[in-house]
Amino acid sequence: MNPDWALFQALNSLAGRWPAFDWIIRFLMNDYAMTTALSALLVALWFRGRTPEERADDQAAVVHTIVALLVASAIVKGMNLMFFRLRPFTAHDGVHLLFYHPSDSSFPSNSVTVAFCFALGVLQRSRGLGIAGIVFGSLLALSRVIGGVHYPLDVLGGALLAAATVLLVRRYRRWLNPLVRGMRRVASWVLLA
Amino acid sequence: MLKFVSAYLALGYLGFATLVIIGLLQSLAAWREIRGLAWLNYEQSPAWRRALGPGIIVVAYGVFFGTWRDLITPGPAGAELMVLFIGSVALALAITLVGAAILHPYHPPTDQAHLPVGVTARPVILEQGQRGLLLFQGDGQTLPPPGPAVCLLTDPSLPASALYPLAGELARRGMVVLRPNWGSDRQRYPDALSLAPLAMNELGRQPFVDADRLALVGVGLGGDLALRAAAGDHQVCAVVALAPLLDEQCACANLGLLCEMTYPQALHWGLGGRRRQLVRQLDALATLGQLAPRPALVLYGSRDPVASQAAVRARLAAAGAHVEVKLVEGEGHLSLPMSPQAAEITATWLLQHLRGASS
Repeated sequence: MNPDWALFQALNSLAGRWPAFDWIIRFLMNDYAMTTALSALLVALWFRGRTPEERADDQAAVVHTIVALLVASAIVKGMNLMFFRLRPFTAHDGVHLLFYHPSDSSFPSNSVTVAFCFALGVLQRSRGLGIAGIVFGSLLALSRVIGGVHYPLDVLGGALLAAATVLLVRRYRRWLNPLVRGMRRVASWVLLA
Repeated sequence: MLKFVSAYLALGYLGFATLVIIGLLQSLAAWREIRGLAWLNYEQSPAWRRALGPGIIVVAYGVFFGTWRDLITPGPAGAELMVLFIGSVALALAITLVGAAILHPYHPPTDQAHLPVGVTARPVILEQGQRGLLLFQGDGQTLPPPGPAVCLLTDPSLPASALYPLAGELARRGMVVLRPNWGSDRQRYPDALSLAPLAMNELGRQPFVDADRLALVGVGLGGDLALRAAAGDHQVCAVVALAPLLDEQCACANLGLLCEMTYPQALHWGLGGRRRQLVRQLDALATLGQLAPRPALVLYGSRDPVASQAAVRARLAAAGAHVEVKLVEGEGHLSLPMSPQAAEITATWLLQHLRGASS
């Protein structure tokens, strides 16, 4: 049996049994809860530095993360144009769906890609915030499989794509120095850099 | 083109995200001690320190997810959510900064209660109509014998009373202190350069001042001015700068300022861009070489958010300056001149070096 499908079935079989558990999964998998928490981590990173040097590095990491996020989203869009994987609830009968019917490609998971871009981008500067981000991202990924909108491979692919993009941006971060300086300059006009 | 699908849900999300960011900013204000973001004095209320920020976040999540029935229907997509989130960050920041300025403003001391017993403060008018305050030990009826004197150059953003602890300590230890007012008419270059000579001339005219034992002490931007003025005036036997800026970058109002003051106060601190210009034009670092062999002391607070001690030491080393640098634990940029420890260090150091000057 396809291990991706087998793992999906095992996890998705947990849905639809206990109303409270379903509510928790819906809370975790929706478009707002975890993405807002992860975006808030980026705000925390911008403000948390104690010294001018620490703030400069933290704020550069915020800009790098935003760039990684945009690059990863563009890659996901490009992949969706070339390759379309049906959602589990479309491809199979008997899937417990706890969400609305997304119509885009199942692979890779866009929301998990975004979540891990945030988490891994923040992790580069703050272990505490980064670990919180990885926990939020993992909960989102797991809930998306349990809720029936993604296969495990979709969320794994999203997380790996995010990691690759964050590393790529990190490797070429010098190219982003003008952008970092520009964003910090704009923020400094309102005393927020 | 953005499609928010449901205005109701979009506005609901905007409100939810705004509350989450407000809670986050309160947590940061408590955790990183950022006064300009804090709605409460978290040092005095440790329970609120732990509870307020997380509490607001929990309430935001509870209300949004407990009452919204459309959460698992198609709503705003990624780009729309990003726009809404950026809007919520701007809104939350505005609410937080205004709230902090109203609820938890910074009040420096406003009376002369900080002057020690036995110290007399007398208003004086310098040449060109410049006002100042002369402090000395005694009742003002009988003049003390000639002794060392200090010209104390304040930071223009500090209220006059903020220097009473420092000026009072110097006067209590037997020094005559003249603190000229640094008004807006002299906050431009080169007008600012005339302030110290005016004050030194006035001190030289006082019968109870030993003209061979004159020192300059400056605070903040006044520290830059003191270093620059001392370099060109050989009457000055010693100079102390408390939290001078030294570098134009430090004179840019930034997020670090919010650690010590509210947002409107941080705006005022920048003097409408004049502070940055003055620091660049005074260029105190470049003139440090002309101070030798006269002693110079630079004092910084360990929690100064404007200039970190590592950066200060690096700048002084790069300038090749033979300046003594001391750190006052637990003090910030604004609190340093009001610190009894800084006043004690300054007075002791000055007496030690001015004694040498007289012999």
